[in-house]
Amino acid sequence: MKYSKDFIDRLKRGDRGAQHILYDSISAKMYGVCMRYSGNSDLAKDILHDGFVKVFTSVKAYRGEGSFEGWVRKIIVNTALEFLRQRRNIEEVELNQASFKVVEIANVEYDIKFFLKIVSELPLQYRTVFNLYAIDEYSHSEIAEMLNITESTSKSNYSRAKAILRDKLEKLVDFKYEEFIR
Amino acid sequence: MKSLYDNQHEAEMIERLKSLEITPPQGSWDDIQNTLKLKRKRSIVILSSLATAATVALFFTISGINLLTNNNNSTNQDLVAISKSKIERIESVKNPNRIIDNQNMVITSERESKSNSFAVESEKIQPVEESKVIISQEEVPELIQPIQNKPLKSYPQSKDDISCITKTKQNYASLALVSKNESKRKGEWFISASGFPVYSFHTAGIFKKDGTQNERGMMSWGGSVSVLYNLSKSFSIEGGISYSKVGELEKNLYIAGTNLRGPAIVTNGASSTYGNLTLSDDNYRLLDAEDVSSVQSLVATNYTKVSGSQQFKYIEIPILFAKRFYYRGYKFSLKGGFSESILIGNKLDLKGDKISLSGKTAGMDKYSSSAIAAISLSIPLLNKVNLLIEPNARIGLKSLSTSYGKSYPFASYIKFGVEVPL
Repeated sequence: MKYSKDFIDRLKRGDRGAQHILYDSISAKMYGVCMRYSGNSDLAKDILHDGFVKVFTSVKAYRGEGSFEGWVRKIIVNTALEFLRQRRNIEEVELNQASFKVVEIANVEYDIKFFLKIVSELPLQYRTVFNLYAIDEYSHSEIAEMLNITESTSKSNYSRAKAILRDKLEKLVDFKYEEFIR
Repeated sequence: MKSLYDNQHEAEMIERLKSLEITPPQGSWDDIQNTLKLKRKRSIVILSSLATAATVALFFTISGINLLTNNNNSTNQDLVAISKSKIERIESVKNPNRIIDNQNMVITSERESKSNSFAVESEKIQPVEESKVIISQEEVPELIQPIQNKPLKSYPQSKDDISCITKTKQNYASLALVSKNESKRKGEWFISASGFPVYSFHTAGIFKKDGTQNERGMMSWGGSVSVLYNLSKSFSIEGGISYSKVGELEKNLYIAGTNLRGPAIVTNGASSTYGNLTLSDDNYRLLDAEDVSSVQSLVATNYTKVSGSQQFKYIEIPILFAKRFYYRGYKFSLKGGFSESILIGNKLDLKGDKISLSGKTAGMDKYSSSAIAAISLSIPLLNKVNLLIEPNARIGLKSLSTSYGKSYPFASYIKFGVEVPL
């Protein structure tokens, strides 16, 4: 979706109506991003909340370079990474419960739930690198900088994430999705 | 059975995850709006708090000065002072031997050349109520001559400049300063040098313990040299260069050997609101409390608790506009403006039992901008030298950290210095 300059100017002025329109149009996508990174709905909600607050308070910094949606998405991803940094230990605990929470999500196609579930079961760092590289299309050098790791670590994490995903998909071949998710 | 997994499935999974859309839980929008409202209120509270702190500091400064002034005057209670209004009034009086008080009807005098000293009797122009005026013979020409022949001095050379002191309930000594403090006219240059204690912190988590419960503000020192130019009788512009050290203190950090391994701490060591804390010694790893709580399952469990201080040294170039005003004889200036700073030092000091390490904070922005508000007080000190007392409040206009958007720095400091005309 393309947003007009007038609309972005309204956002920069703190127009509440414009903020609501933006939220309505983009929140489902951004919540999807939050779910991918967090692996559970409670943390995803917190990330979405802080991410949108950050979008609305720092929209003045948007200079029109690149798409506005891309800019918002970048902020949401950065917010998710901040959360994962700050709440690592909490995340580790909740990850185990994530498999039960994912199935509670409404309005999601069945196979998407399945994919989301197996990604959310990846170890935290593998999942983060997989999301950043495969889905959000950051380069390994960018990921290395974002996560304060080396580029080779990023590459190996991605390879291992892919290997785990492949392994899971192969092992689950005998399961019906319904049974698995239930 | 055909394998579920193949490249097509992988590509499909990635595509579907890319376009994943999930309706957020109900109430999310309301929560966001409430937070935005709270943030607006919070920023107002922060500015109000800084203004209040500056006012309180100023109040105590002025009170202290007034107290000192009153103590000095108490030794001269049997003399009588003359205010600025009285001095100006004298200029219009042709008879140099007569001093007339136009408002308080206190002082009238007549010079008698023959006697060495005399008690002045009131002329019958107006009644004298409380005060009895005593002026020594030597003091009278001192008082009158400068007024007739040359303009008033800009400030008192000594206590003798105030020739007479009235015995009234009001303290006229400060009013005398006003008349002598008129030197700061349009087009004049002044230079000042000052040193100051600085208290610094950041805005994140001041009111909410948002990952900052282990962080505290820091006291340090700074210094500045400024040049001031009087644009008009009331307005000035000021620029200069300033050095200050800001930062924060952080507790509940842990140091462990490099044999520490585990998924929970692979990506980061300890971090603060300003950014990630990095050690210069590769033989150690720095962890925060969260890491330690999850470290039990890891290989190494031997770690030492330390506290740290993050110090950032800045050279700052401020541009300030000032509006002068006088109150009770003292010159005040309300100042406001902006500054650009460059980071010249980034240091992390860690200290614990039997261990002391250093490092730095990663992800710090080299340049920063700030808004400054100040109120300054000038007190005549020596010949053409003024003592300068200036409470300041400074708040960053952007986050100091490139990775964490909430760390707007602020600092409050009281400059103590001297100011001289160029």
